[in-house]
Amino acid sequence: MNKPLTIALPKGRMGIQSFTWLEADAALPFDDRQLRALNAASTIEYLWVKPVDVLKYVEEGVADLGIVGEDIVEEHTNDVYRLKRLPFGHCRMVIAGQTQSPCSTKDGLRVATKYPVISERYFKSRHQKITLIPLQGSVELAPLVGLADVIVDLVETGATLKANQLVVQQELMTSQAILIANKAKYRWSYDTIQTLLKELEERHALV
Amino acid sequence: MNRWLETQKRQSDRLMILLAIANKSGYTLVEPPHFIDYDRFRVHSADLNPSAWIKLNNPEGKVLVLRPDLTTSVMEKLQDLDPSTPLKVCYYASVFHQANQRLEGSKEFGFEYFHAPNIEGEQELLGLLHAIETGLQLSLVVEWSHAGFVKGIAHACGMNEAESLRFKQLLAAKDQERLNDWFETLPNTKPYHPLLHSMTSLQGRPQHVIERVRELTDDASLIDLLTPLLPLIPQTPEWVLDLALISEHDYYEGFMFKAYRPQDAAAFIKGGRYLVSYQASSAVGFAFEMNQLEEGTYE
Repeated sequence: MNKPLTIALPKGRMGIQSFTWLEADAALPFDDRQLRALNAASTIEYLWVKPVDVLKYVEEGVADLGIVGEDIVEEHTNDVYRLKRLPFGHCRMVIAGQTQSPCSTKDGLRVATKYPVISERYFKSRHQKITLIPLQGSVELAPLVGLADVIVDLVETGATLKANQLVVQQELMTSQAILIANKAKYRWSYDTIQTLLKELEERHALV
Repeated sequence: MNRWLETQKRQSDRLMILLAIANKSGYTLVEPPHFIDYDRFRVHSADLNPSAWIKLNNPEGKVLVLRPDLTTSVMEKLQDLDPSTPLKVCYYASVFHQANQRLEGSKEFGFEYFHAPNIEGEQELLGLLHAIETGLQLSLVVEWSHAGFVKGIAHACGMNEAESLRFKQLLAAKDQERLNDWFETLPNTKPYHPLLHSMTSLQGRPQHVIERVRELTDDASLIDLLTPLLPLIPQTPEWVLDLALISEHDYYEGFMFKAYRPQDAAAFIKGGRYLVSYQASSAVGFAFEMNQLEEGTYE
């Protein structure tokens, strides 16, 4: 029997949606302690990991494939194949602030974000001087307390922005769940991966 | 024997095998210079990540870079070589880069055949690869292409430098969905749309892939690039023609390949025909990391 494909899934809502997309009606086999599981046909081994770690598992070749938000791939790596965007996890990466248009100081716009790479690339392409303020969370707070002029963050419904009296000034990119592959594993498992993709396309076309 | 000694012994045995292969094929071992003229290096390696390079000033005030790439370093060493004289060299040396504010080095072994005649050079390359595969008992899957295929499409579609780069980035990520969206915005690409829509799936057995290309485009010049290489390529499933193959280095101008072992997370051997810009001639060669060879030994 062939070695099963290994797919890293992101813990949380996107992981549950991913598992359903891949395995239809099968019950989710993960909990706080159960972090790896084989599917019923023993053709796929799933790894249940933190969203940002999906990339690491795939880049290092521990997982052949992974599902993660496109924003995370865009921010952290160029070293995986981007095989297919999936019909969930939709959101937008935006610049938001307290006013409709950004107000820059002589030292440049102060930008608070969890996405320094995407932010820097965007403002650099606009030849706009900025000071990056990398944060780990609660980014919406930064303009309210004077830490930043604007934020660059991921928005799904816009409710959190609204609750913090912030408005969208510019959309940088759209993001959704994406199936990624390790480059070496893709080459060695090309036929298996193509067969899986074809089966999934056929199954989802019927829905 | 402890593990450290075992590792040393294994590495030494492998090195002996590689040197014997090199010797048998007429390759001379050279020591590439550690430091290369920064400005010249930039010309050859414009697409590498300059922030990872280690630079310093020599007493004359010239900026030097600690070699991040051996092919360029060997080219620098042999810049005064007579372009009409073919030369075969091999090396076993370290490349350096900066990561997380630390100096990191990795030892590479490589072969370069300067001024190698067309086809004869590629034949030599494939022979060496086969000898290494057998000598080191490797199991490899090899993807190959011709660098001119993607460059030819970009040129025929009138892409500017930025568009060409974007094209290569999307192919390098095998991102067919974004590629489809992107080239719809470029009016000149229209005659190539059927081909562009299939780019990332144009891979597999060479004859089959070429048949598909014939169905998708009238541009015979693209197929003409590949056909001289076909008789050289082993007719086995392990040799995959991948027309979306992109190299991180832009100096390739003909046949190029990447080889993977089953335990690898990234390409193990990379090489092909590249431009020696000092002399406006070309060379063939490939290299691999000796450390990567050690990884996976205990699996």
